[in-house]
Amino acid sequence: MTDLNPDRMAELAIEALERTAFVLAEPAESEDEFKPAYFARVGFTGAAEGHVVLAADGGFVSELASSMLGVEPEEVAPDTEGQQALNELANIVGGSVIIDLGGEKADYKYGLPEQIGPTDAGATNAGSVSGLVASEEGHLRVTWIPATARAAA
Amino acid sequence: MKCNVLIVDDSPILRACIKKVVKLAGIPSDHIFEASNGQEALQVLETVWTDLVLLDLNMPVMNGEEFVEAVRSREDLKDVAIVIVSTEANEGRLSRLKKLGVVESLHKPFEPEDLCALISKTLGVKL
Repeated sequence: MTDLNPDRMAELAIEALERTAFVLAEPAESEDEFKPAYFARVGFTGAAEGHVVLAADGGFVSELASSMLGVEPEEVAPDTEGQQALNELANIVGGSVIIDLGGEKADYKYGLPEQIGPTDAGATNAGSVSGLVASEEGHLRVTWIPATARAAA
Repeated sequence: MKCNVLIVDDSPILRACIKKVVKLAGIPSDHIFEASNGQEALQVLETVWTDLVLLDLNMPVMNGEEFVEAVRSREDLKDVAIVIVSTEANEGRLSRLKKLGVVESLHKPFEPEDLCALISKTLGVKL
């Protein structure tokens, strides 16, 4: 089991991007230029409880979806295919976060990934951990929000 | 190669991704079928002879585990090869599925070449 920190969150996102979509990314240093417009969330109960929330800008979701589909970014509709790609990435990164938190022997139940709005995506607090990554076309933030911290918010 | 492959995943974009890999493994497009949940997948199995099911676990309507139980309870479907492709990593759950006859499991995120090799191995064909 691993203690989550911003670097580890970024690492998990980078690995998921490379293996799932051949999207190369690296840890981003600054959120100054990050204006997320797409959000996805997946929830977990059991050994570890909480949500993994993804926030991304339009450039990132288009790059992600185009790479997964094997088409040019201009051929992707960000609001549908881009959002679907982000939902699936939330599913995959969420699975990796859960393993980090509880180990492969831990018993947990996955929720279904879902699109959410910026308000729900921003409901973080002291227990949350976020990592930010930059790809060629945009940025992605991955956040773990533990249930107890959410309940206290 | 005349094998039929069924991809079962509630994510349309991941189905498209997996379909690319299945085609790379040598399966023609008209031999690749899709379903967005276990119930749809059962309907496909009832109309199309299927050699291999690539199955997500976490889906609405009928999840992957329920689908495996349904398939294994039917005499006409019990020998269909099923490979899990999922974020699921819990050893207990995967062990339970293997006892139900699941052939293999591949954890997301997966390397496309690993899925390709698994398809070829399961179908007993060369890439």
